[in-house]
Amino acid sequence: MQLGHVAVALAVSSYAPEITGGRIDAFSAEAIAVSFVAHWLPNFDVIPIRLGWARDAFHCTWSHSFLFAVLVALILLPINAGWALLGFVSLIIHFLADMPSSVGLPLLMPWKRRFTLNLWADTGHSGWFAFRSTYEQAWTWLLEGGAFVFLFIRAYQVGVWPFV
Amino acid sequence: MIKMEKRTPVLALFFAGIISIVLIVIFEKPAKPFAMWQGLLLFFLCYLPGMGIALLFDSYAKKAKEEYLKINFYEEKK
Repeated sequence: MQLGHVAVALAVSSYAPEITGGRIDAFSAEAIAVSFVAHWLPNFDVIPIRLGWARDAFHCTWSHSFLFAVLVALILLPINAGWALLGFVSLIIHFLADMPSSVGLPLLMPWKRRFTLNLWADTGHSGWFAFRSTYEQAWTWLLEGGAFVFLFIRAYQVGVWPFV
Repeated sequence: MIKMEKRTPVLALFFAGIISIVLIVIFEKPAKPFAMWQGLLLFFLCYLPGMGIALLFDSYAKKAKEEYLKINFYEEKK
């Protein structure tokens, strides 16, 4: 998933009160910031690859595992329990959003078995080719577009822009 | 430009219309109806998954997936 992550992260922030037991408001700046950072965190594994510090195959490994989600939540817990809960859910939702890709996610790292729904072919971790070729396939439009529609309905239900 | 059959964008419009109507019927509250521009925005957004459904019937999209599945994009370059 590429652009769809934006809609998914925002949609997660709309459930912040339910996820955090009322500690964080839906669509608040705090909710959006935490869910965005946590949701995009797994894809920061592209940075060491781009810098030449890691191989291409490093993408979608440790950062896309339950172990990583638990570690991030444990780090955030002493700082802010709401951030830990929202961050954990955002990470798990990121994994779910990436599951349709053929690359598969090693969710149970260090066990290396990868899990995939295989709805679209993965075409690399970054760059224009990866972006364009992703959107040559049906399911990316269906699921990522569906995420934006879902976000629209959530905005309507919660009563934020464009429904103020 | 993404390669697709000529009928695909038209089919997407059709599916977008159906999705929009279904969503309005399910989610619109009588006390808080959608304004015209909100309905149009919904239709525009529904065009995206509509395009996805249309691409399911598009031979170019199927071929693209099959071709990309043959390539390992994470293989180290020698």
